[in-house]
Amino acid sequence: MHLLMITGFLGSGKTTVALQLASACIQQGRKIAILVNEIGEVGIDGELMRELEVNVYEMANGCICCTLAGDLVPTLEKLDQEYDVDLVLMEPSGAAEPGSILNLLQYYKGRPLESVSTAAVLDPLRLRELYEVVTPLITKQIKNADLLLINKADAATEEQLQDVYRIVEEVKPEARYFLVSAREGLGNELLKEILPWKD
Amino acid sequence: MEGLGLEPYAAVIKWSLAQKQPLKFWQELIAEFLEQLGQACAADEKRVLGHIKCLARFPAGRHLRGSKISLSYPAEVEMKGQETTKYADIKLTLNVLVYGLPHDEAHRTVEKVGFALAAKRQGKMELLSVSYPDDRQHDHHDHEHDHDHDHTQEEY
Repeated sequence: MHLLMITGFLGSGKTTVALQLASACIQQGRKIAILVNEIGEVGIDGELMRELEVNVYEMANGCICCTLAGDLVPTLEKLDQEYDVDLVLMEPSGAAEPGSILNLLQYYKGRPLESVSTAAVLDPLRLRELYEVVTPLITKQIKNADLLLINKADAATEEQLQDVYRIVEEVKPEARYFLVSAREGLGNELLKEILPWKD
Repeated sequence: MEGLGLEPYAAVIKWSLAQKQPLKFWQELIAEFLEQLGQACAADEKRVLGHIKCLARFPAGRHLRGSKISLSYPAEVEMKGQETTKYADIKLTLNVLVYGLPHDEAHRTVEKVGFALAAKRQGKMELLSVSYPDDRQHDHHDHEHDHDHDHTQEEY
């Protein structure tokens, strides 16, 4: 079982990315489960994901990096025991700090995870504004990511994209990134890069 | 945003009209609702819009999915399904995530904006349920992850 975590601030497009990834996996004949966490009490993203007819586990009413931290590992272990999935797509809440989530995985006692990777979705339309007011969270999301998805690239101005590059350069100069417009699809090149299997 | 708490507010609201209207009409109504709600919730410049999002589901996988993330950009409502399908009422699940906005104020704002939009179209709005956490706030930016609390749900 592989684990792929899609992080990013509120409204950056994580759910759209997760839906696209889930669709791609299904088309490839892979068995997946989605673990979606919403800080609000009423889950919306999980409802959308269920339309794909995949196993969706919703952890609402809190954040899996802190208030719901105790539920994360048991949920992953349940997924391991009850379903033979190839991949768990995990979408933490937009307020979640990914490092805390990754730390929790040391307590996971199921079959060894074949891979754990993290992709952070960045919104160039407001990254500069957010970076200035919520620097620690944005910094941690970028630092903990194996791959950055600069979303809404079709709507962003050149100036906004340059701003994103500057922030990424400041926080994690070695970061690998893709420009995407998740609503339009992710493209084969990115899918090959982000999905854990290489066949 | 440092020091601003996040009090998630959620509600299920129902808008009803005398006559059935196509999805396109409801799409525009939701966009107007999110736009006005976003502007009102973040009117105080100390507040920061996290995400105001909503979903209205219809039979056969149709849905309207709305989002407002910034005062600088208009609310967006994505429609899945045939534009010509008509409905006299819709049920909307709403999440309001605005840093620095107390949940009771979020509630009053949702009521004010929603009722006004319904009245403008000679319709009505009902709040079917409302939920929010207790008075302990979320602050995910500079805390040490030492709080571990439950939330309560209240039905109005």
